[in-house]
Amino acid sequence: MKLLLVSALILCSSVVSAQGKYFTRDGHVKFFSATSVEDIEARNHKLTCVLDAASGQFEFAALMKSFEFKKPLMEEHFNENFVESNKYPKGTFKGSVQGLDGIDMANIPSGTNVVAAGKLEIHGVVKELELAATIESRDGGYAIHSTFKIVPEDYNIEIPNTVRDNIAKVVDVTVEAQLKAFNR
Amino acid sequence: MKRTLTFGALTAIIIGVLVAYQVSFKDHDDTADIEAAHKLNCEEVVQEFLDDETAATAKYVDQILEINGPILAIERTDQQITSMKISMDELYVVNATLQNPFEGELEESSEIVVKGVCSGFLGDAESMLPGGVVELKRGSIIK
Repeated sequence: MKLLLVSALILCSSVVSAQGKYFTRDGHVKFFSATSVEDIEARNHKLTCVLDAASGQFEFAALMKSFEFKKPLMEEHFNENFVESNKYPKGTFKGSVQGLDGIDMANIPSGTNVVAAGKLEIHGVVKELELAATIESRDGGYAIHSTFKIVPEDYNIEIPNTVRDNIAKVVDVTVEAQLKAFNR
Repeated sequence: MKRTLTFGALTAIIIGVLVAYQVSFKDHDDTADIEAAHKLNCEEVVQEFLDDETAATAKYVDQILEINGPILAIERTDQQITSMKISMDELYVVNATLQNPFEGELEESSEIVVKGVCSGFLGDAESMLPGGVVELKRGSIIK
């Protein structure tokens, strides 16, 4: 009887925890621009990311000034000329992870493909996007990985003629986040 | 006269190219060598942003801040410490990435002082989380 009760409690707790919110404040987001002139990479290890496992609601946000470049001049151009970080300090995605209905949220196998559909806002411009992503259960939470492409021009990011050949027309973005349970 | 002018022009071009090269390929300044503009407790700085984000942004962003407080969490890459969160509350934190990975030992909950460039505040008023994060980049451990 005791064993049955303990088992029931464990089962209930895993179901309850799998239905709450999961978050991180130190997700990774990276973008990579490759041209024949040079490759440019910037990393931000302070991505805030939240998933509501019950509804599938999913958000992430990053400060533009937290992207770190190898060279200070690149970082300066990025913040001052391209994304105008003082005016538009954040990049955000707000949407929902689709296709979770048939998934056992307490035990998502590695490499499970999902789509996060929502709105990406960069440089004050909002675009509807569908992000291909993988999700898996890990360490009592979820590991999320997504790679997608953005076209700077779509977000009214103007590249001056002097460096036009240095910046790719399509930039690769990678998002990685290990979400843990939000227990409040 | 013509030779002098040619020599002067060539010298100017060479200096210009060297300066441009120096600026283009210059590394980031070492934060550890720069005096902090403000020295604060982690709770104070987060609270200032929560109280008035616009004023705190004008005061702190792009400035070097020296922040003290307890280590909430440590992130390691290849067994070296690359970033840490400073706070007693995981929803209200200062998140600092280090300019150079730290090879020593640090323990969670121990007090630390970190200096870094403030890149802003990621508040969560519009998202699904309460609280917010003050972000530091190119951080350096003071003690």
